[in-house]
Amino acid sequence: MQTFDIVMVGDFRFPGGTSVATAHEIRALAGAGLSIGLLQSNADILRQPRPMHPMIRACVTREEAIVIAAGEKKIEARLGIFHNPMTFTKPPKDLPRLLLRRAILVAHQTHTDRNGLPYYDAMHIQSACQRIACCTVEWAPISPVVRGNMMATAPAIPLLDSDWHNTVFIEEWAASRSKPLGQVPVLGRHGRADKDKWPATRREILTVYPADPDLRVRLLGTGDYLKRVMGEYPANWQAFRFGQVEPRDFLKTIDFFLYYHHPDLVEAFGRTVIEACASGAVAILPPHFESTFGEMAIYREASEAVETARKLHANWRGYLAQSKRASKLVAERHGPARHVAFIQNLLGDLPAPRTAQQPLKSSHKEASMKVPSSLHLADPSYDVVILADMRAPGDAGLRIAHEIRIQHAHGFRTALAHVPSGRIKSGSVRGEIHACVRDGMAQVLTSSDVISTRLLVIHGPEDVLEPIPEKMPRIAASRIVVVVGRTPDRSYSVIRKHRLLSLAFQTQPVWAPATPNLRDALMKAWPDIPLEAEDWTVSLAARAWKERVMAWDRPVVGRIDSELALDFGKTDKPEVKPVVQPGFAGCYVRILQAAPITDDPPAGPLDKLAIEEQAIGKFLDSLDFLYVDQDDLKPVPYCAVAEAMQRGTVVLVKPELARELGPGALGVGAAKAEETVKLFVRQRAELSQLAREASRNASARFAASHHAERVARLTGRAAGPTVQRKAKRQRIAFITSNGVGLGHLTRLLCIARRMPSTVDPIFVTMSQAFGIVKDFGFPVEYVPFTSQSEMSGVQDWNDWFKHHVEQIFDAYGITGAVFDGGAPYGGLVRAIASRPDFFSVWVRRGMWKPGKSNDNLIKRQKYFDLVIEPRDVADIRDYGPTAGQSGRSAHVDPIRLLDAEELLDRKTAAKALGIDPKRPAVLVQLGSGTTSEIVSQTNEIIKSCGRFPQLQVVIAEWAIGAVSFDVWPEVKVLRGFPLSRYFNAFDFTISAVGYNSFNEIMSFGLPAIFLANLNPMMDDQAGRAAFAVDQGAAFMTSPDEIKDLHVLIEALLDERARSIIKVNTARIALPNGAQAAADLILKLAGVAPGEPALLRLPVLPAARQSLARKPAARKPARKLKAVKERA
Amino acid sequence: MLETPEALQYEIRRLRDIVERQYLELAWQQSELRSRGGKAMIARFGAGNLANGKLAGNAALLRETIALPPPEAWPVGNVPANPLIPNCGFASYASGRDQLGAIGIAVCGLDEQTVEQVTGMVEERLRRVRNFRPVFLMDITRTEIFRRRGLAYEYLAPCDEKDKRLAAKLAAFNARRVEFLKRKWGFPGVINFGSRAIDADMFKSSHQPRGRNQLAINSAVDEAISQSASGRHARSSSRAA
Repeated sequence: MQTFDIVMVGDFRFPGGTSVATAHEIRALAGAGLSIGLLQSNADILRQPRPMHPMIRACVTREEAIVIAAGEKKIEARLGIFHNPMTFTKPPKDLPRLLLRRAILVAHQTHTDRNGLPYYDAMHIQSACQRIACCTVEWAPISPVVRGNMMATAPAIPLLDSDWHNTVFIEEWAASRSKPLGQVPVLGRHGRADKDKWPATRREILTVYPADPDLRVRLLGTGDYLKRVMGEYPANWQAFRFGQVEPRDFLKTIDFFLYYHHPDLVEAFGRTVIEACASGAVAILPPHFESTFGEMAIYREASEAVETARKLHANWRGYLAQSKRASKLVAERHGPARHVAFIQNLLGDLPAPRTAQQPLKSSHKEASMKVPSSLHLADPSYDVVILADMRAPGDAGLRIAHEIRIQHAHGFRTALAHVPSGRIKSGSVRGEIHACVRDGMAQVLTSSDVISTRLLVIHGPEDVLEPIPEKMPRIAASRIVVVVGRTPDRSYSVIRKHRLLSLAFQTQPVWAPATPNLRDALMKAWPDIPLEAEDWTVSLAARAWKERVMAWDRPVVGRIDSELALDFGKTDKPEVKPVVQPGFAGCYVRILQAAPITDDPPAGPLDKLAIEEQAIGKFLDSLDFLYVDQDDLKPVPYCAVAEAMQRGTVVLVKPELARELGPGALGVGAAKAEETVKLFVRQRAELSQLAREASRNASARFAASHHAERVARLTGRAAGPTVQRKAKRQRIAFITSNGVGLGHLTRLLCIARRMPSTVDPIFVTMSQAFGIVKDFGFPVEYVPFTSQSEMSGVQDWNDWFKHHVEQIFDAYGITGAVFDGGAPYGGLVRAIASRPDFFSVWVRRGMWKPGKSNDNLIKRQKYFDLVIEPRDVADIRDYGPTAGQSGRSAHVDPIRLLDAEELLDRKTAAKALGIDPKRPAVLVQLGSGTTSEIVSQTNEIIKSCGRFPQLQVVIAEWAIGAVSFDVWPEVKVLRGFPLSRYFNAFDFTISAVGYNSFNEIMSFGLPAIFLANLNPMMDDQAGRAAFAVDQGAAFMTSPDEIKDLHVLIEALLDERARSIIKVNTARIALPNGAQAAADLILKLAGVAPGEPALLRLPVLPAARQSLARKPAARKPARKLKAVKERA
Repeated sequence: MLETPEALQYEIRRLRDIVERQYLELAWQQSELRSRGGKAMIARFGAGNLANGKLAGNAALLRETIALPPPEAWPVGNVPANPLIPNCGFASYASGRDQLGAIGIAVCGLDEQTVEQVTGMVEERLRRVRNFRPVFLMDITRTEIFRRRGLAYEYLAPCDEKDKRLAAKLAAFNARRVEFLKRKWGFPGVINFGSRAIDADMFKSSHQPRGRNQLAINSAVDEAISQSASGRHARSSSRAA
């Protein structure tokens, strides 16, 4: 339970006299050593969110009072002061239980107006307050007017014997009045802008504040009502809106304070009068005020007021006499000592005054209850806090990412507060922003954090605090800047948002438009909103120029549709109609859109990508042109346009915007855009030159230094020198799918072996043969394929796969990924998508089976920066779906693990295998057996080979083979990798026709009998084999013809036949494309090619185990066959 | 024609029974062949000799990862709702389709022979009791031990670093990985038969079996199943609440 001397219960958000009076009273009582607790009770009449009144907030900051935290259960105090009956018109909820010795309700307001209509139900309020106070509540009228009204209209209400004393610190208001302010009298007033505070008609207003050049009129607190009544203000008037000027400064600029309010209003007190008198201005008031202010003012009817002022201005001595008399009376009647004495009477005794050094009572829970202070940030936790819905799809996310990078580079400490908006139902934080967090450039705040910052930057105000979250980080900021990146539409009110932000952060925000146009729009629509002096222009983090790795066979035009439409539907602008956008026939068109993709087109010239599927930077890198929609229905994504230019993408925009953007931006209308693209495509050199110019121009125009200087100015902290990030070693993930054999893994090993020593390849594979990779010396991570979780859905597996891969990416600091597989998994695509500076390559061999619809797999190429298609010796026979996509993939020669010089000579290879180099030998390699029945085929082959006793048979057993071949005792089983290293030990091979086996056999000139795997899951093995046969480079058999295999074997045992085949294979063989593939990847990664780290091979040591042939006790093959038959 | 779901279920059950019987028979035959000297017939060529110089191991490339705040403060992708269900293995392939609890079994730091032995014993246990689904955590590359039994496994990079700093880094990474795997497969803890520490939060097994004692394995598995069951019960209770 907390204890106080005084608990004040009220709505401390009232903008006018009630709050000002309360603040003065707090100061006076705190100065007398009393402990004060403030219990906020929201008044029903203040429905709009408002901040605590700044003067009361200042009291809290100075530790003169404690704000009692919501949720407090019990409060004890000697005196409870309830402020303003209007606060309690509805019984307050969720207030703590108060244990008070005495309770007073300060009646700041009369019970009824002049016509007898009640402002509130006095009895109802009395009972509401008594329920809170748990004791009798006495009313303290603030003036004789209120007392009289209460006695007349609510006689049952218990009143204090003496009136409440409004307090003013006169020394803070006093102004020197030794001479008049000017030649002519200056009349004026200050107060709220409400209708009640002004005379009823224009004529009456002009009676008190005449349009007379011999008078000057200065009014503080003008507003819509006065404007409506008066129309144009007279020339001798100077009008200021409420809050625009501090009252104490304002009062120093007037000679006479004339206050004539609406006839219906019963002014309870009129605090502005004592403030005017304290400043030394002479108050001229209507006669009814005399009972309240006595000799402090001169009382005249409205018609006589101005004349009285003129006379007194002419008689300055008389003026001074009245001024001093009023000041003296204010000091006597309304000084703090008087109020303390008044309270002293109520309390009975007072404790000794508290000195400045004395802390507040230890029973106060200070830290947890204080409103975050914006005033004293001695050592703020951060330089900049950026607050936004970090999931928002538009340009703001990209801006934030760039700003974080720039701030980090210049040594500003940055934190991010993600405040989810109701507009965005789900989704992840934008990849661009998350990448900054992952790289340690910014801290993320949680809802329980309490921090202070020099600068709070709010992006996307339309989304912020909509709805107000239940919990959010408590942020005390010296400055708040709200960045307006798009025209505020009717989806939110800027004024309301301004108030809401003030309330939430207890500091008045300043609004910073991103462009001059937005500034104009804001100034026109909301002239009262304080604007930052400079526009919040786009700044881009520095980026080195990178050449495009490859050009597609057609120009690539992109469109970004990431912004939600402006709310024109609710405005009166019928002229805004969608403009027909060009189709860009003959181009590849890529669209990055905020909306989910519901109409995904088939693989072809149109790619649609959702914003969460690809980082904007990566998207821009794939384009030759960025076309910006010109229909005015959507805001221009300025930051994306700037980044496009920085990356060397030519932008097609409206002519007026092009002039603003400079070189690299082409100003063309929608109708001419297509023609312009075609024109430039014919002049590739010019386009390349323009791309470079765009980059140079954008780097200067949107330089990072602009934002660094801006932050330095707003935080008052000098920007540090640019921190050059240490160039990261490229760590490339080589990711392979499961596969039925070793093809995917082998191809990536081919490439990884040819990477220079400046690159770290890290394998991430679903292949159970990952041991091969480890044997090569590469780090490897294994991720089980979905087949190991038979009962789980593919979606579940993909979700886990994404997390697993992300964990690996983060743990190793992976900078790019090379994937080899038939289907880039959804989980992989999502893991890559959120990484803006992460390159991705799909190594996709051709020869897919024709006639099969693989469109959903092919179109996943849109997620990759580069598709490398290793050629196939038989690719002339490629009729599969990838053949039609060749225009947008880079082609390299067939990829092989070994070059010819790496193969062992016959003698060494035979020795290693334990076979006789002088006798013929055949290598049987039918694959892993995962997708075909190879046991019976092998049995047939062995039977056929058995007809030639001199022939040595070696069966290759795949590292992930489904079957074990140690069931034919008469043959040798070779389990090792790579098999091609031993090719010279063999005279010919009987082989399946997978990509790697086929291309190795053809390139190394090993005569072969091909036995194609015809499983529909496989590539077009039959097509490859048929091509080799057509070229006279191999023989071919099939499962149906395998019984006649001995004929082909006999032929290949003939030296002449083998020679012919070798000649033919040499004719069609292609060089190894592995190095070319590696070079393409290095170029994409921005790494200079170097000496491959693992190209040279040492001499192979002897085999660890000899291949002794041992007779078997029985023929297990027969038994195995029997088992199979039974099954 | 299989016209009713019951008939379809019956047929699936029948086929699974066939697979299981076939697997057992093949396993027996292979075992017999190996005992007759088949092992000597298999030539193994280590491919490691192809590498020209030593590359950095996994540990050397690991970096410190930044801890992210909770998803409510920083949503970066949905946490998958359902843990994966590991295969039950060919030895108990016909066991019920109900969701048996997964159990992590670590065999890290053991040689291949011992891993084979432990896996065989776990499989034997699985064949008899059929009330759990193992996920092996291992650090060898001879995956056929698990593959030919149809068992699920995860690979934790072996800690063969001599540098203590690197070893500690790899151990920390593996500990994070184990935590991830627990969520991925939905097992509450790990029975560690290996000689390497895997996780601080292992089952508190008093005997700490080292993989050679069938009784010890049975006891540890029983303990794990009961803990797993109570964990599931607790989870389902909390969901209900």
